[in-house]
Amino acid sequence: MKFRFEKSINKKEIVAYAKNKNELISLIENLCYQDEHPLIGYKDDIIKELNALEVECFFTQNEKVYALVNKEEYLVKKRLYELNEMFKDSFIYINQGCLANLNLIDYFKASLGGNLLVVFKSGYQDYVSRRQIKNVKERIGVK
Amino acid sequence: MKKRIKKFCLRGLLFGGIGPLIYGIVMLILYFCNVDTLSNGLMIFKGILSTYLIGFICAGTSIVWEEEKLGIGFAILIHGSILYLSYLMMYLVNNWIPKNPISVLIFSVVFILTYLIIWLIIYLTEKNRAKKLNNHLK
Repeated sequence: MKFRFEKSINKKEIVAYAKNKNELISLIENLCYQDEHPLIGYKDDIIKELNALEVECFFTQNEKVYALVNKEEYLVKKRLYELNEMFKDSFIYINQGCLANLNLIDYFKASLGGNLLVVFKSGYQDYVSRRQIKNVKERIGVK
Repeated sequence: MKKRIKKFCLRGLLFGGIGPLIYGIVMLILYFCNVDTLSNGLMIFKGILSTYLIGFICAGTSIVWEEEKLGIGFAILIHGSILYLSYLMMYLVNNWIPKNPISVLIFSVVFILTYLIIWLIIYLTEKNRAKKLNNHLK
């Protein structure tokens, strides 16, 4: 894939030419979107701009939405469905209260209680609801 | 702890109603099979209450599986013991099994075997599913 940079004072635009929309293009699209709509996370007194690519998952707790980044939880002032719209190419619902980053899933495992669990690279785990199993399988490419 | 108790109760309340529904279906089947259950109002009430409590306890104790810190053996022991005792108590209170050691022993053996078989089937199904997903993740 070729890359070309053209310096422009007036335009701030990235144009991608490809036969089909692939993973790389989705990644670039997410980065562009984030540039215009930064994701802000709050933790205690810290306000931090989060990189969605580093967020393992967004989850709800006590009616609030948090982003998990390197085992740290940041409060995010957006709804899960809004985050799903923003990052639908990289994230997927695994249950009603959790949006998982497909690129940061380490592995799946069976829980003692008969559920399917997602284990993220940091070690954080959450369950896959029966309603979402089909979607998860489709996104990962399992028939 | 408070969170766990709340979860136990919420789950129990949500799914406890399935017990009486199954009880009703069983009674209906017995009726259509012309089996005389010799039930009176008090017995029926006891049956409904018992099956509701069994459903409540079954649903509520499922929170044990969400405690990752518990080892598998301990989780099975807690979950299985609570279910066994509640089932046994209800069966004896409602005279669904005779009150003698042999009957209790047969009940216990059947319960333990059924419990383990169902648990194993579900666990192996999910394990197989996880394996397929992990192969595709790689």
